[in-house]
Amino acid sequence: MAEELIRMVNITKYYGRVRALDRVNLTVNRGEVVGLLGDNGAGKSTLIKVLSGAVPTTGGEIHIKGRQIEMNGTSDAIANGIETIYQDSALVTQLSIARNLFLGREPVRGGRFFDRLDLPMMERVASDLLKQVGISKNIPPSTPISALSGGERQAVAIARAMHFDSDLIILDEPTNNLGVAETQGVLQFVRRARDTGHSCIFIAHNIHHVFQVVDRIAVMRLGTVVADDIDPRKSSVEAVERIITGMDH
Amino acid sequence: METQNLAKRLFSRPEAGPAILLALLIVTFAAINPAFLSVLNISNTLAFTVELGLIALAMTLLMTAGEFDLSVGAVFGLTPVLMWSLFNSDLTSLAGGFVIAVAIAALIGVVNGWFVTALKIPSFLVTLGMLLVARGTALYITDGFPQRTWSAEGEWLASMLVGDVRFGPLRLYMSLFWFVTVAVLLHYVLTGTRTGNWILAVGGNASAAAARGIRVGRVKVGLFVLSAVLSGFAGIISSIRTSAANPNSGTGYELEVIAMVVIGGTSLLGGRGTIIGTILGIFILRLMRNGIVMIGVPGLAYNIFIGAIILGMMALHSWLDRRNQSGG
Amino acid sequence: MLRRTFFGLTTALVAVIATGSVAMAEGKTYFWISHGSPADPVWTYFLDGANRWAADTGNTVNTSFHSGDVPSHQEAVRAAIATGANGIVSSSPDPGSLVEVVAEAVAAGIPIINMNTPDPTADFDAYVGSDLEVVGAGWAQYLVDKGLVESGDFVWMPVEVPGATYGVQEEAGISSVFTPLNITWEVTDATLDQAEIITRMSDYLTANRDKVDAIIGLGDLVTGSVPRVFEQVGIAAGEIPVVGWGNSLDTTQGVLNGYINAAQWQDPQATSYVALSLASMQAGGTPAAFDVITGALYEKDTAQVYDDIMSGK
Repeated sequence: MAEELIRMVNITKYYGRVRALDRVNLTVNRGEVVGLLGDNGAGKSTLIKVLSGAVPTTGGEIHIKGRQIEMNGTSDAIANGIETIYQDSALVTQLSIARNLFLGREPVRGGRFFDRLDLPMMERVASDLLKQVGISKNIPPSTPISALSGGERQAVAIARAMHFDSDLIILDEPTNNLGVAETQGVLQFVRRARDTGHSCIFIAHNIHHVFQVVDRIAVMRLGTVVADDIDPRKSSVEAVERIITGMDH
Repeated sequence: METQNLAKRLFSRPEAGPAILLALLIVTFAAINPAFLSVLNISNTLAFTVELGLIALAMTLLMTAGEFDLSVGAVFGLTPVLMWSLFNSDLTSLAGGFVIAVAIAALIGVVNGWFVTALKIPSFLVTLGMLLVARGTALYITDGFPQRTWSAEGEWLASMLVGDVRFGPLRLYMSLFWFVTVAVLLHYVLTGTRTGNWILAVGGNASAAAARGIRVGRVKVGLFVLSAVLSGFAGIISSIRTSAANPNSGTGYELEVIAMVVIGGTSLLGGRGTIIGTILGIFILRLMRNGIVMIGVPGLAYNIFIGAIILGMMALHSWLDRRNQSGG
Repeated sequence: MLRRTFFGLTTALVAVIATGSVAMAEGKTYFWISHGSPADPVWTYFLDGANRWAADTGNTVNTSFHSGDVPSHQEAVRAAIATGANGIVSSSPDPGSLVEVVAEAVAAGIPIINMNTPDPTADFDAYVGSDLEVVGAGWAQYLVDKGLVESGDFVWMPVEVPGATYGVQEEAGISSVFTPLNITWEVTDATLDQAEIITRMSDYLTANRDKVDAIIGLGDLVTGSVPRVFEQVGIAAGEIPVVGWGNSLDTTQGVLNGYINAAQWQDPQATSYVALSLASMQAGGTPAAFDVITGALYEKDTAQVYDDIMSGK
């Protein structure tokens, strides 16, 4: 039976008078990829921001692995095993691949006082990851991110999430600016992440992409979840589109 | 093959341009007037260069994180005025005055940092306002009278900060030692520590850094404090060496320092910084001023030459940059 | 309600008039406007003279510094006129810069006295201070008379702010003596920042030491920096003759220690004091139709007098 990883209970978010999220209930189980769909303004981005710790909730609870968690910032989310891949990959283009990989979690050696970067270790790990991730021929880990293509950057971001053994990887429209081949690469990644024990929430505009890779689809409309266990094998793109736009009544 | 690769790597570093320029300057000036390389001239140049240099080192880190501090000149002037006012009115010992004055400089850094990170006002504007406050405070507490610093003779603090040592005809001030120490330290911080990675990330892509859990606000406030403290420290050193704590000292230093940092290769937009480059930039600007006097440029035409050389250097910089981008 | 408002307003009005007339009975208001920098040690003595005059006479003196900013200086004069000052004392930032505002003051019947930097093109009622051309010529003549320079020599003249009135007029006076004698000179820019001044002067002397036969410091900061500069460059006191302004403790000490041959005392306190007195005199009905010229060149034997004045003894 599916083991519950994340459970959001009655999550509500107001921006001033505007209600962006209205008592959202959503569960993600271990080892599953959940696709989160919805039209513009449905609340997907806001929900993701809440889950990744970027914005505080106005009401509701977040339970991770059965325990209720207080989310006060992005470092809390990361500490609880939630990694978010943003559209711009949260990568610093001037920095090297190695430094980006360990951004915010830099390994240090020597006494606390010195906080000396363990650069050799960082480069070794980065090298391995680059190979695993299948990024082109022999790019040294000290290369700045600016030398990578869009798809390669997303790959680095996802590899980063997988490397740090996050339980949940949230992908916020990761294929938006990518070409066909690169998109397939990212989708391949998501499957591999699931197969190695990570759960994912995958948000995309392109329903076809979602259908290719998720185990379950949830749909949001006007700040609330209107359907959350659509099986992509048993449903059709058109049916889901109708749910998204509200034309299913 | 090996040497070709090495040369290519060296040339693509941001410090390559300034290094070439510095070498060119030295060779040109020395050729026109060999006294340029005389021991006396070197001693004199080192004396003042390191004081501005300390400020430039701090500014390098701050600009790498994407912020500016225009109040450094005013803090340079205010801090010694505070120390000497306290000492001259017999309220504290010199060391006590030193501690209090530097603490106040640190406080100024905290205020700058708070306005920028909490109130989200651009650092350019915040520090411009602070410049006026600091300058005005210096004038107000001194009533316009510069503070006497002759009584520093024999004080241990004075020798520690500004004592001089003679190696034959070469005269080196202790401030050179402080400068070298700070330079080595900050270079290490920027390139080899976790904090340095944060500084680079904050300047390169602050939202990415925040998304990865880095405390962007704390990093920036810390750098504003560093900037103010080093400016104050430099001001104190200068006041002892020149025997004058003038509330007007340091006027205009902020722009000179920013020019040094930018010429050295640190990016105006943040995300990339080099202490080595800044050191080159410091010497380029200072040697330039010294050199044009040594080669006999008419007194009132100094600024024409300095401006022209700066423009020339920026052009060379951008040419080298473009060559590197296109994989030259 | 209307009655109470009316009553309140009247009371307020009466109160204002009452305090106003009390203030008027207590003394008049004069404006003292300087083109200098508030941190310039010279100007602090001028300011001191103005404050003493205020204390001695019981009048109010509003002082302001404008650091060479001409529009700001002109504004201040206009503000004084607008508030109906009893008299104005002002220095001149640039020759000709105050012609209009002085005319406005005269038209408004407000006495306006020129101090410190003379500008004969403006219609001031009187001038109190040195005659800078005479001062410059005096320095040049001193060097010649004492045999410290001769025909064909080269004199270095550092100045803080090139182009400002004081340097320009002094140079004119110097030229009148040096040109017929075929003595050449160069003016160089030192700025108002003490550390920068020492650096620039040291650089110049390092490069031109053999060329320089004498030095004339066109301002107090540069002249006062000579001992420190000589020390940095390794020039002994007296090795190169120096003459210039002497209105700071740095310069009196420089003269006493043999670095500076002679320095010019501007009588800063007296200049302010007498200028304000002339304004007051004219405000009271006696026209101030004459100039008062101040200043003396002092050497080692009398330098202590000025040192004591400035040390507050």
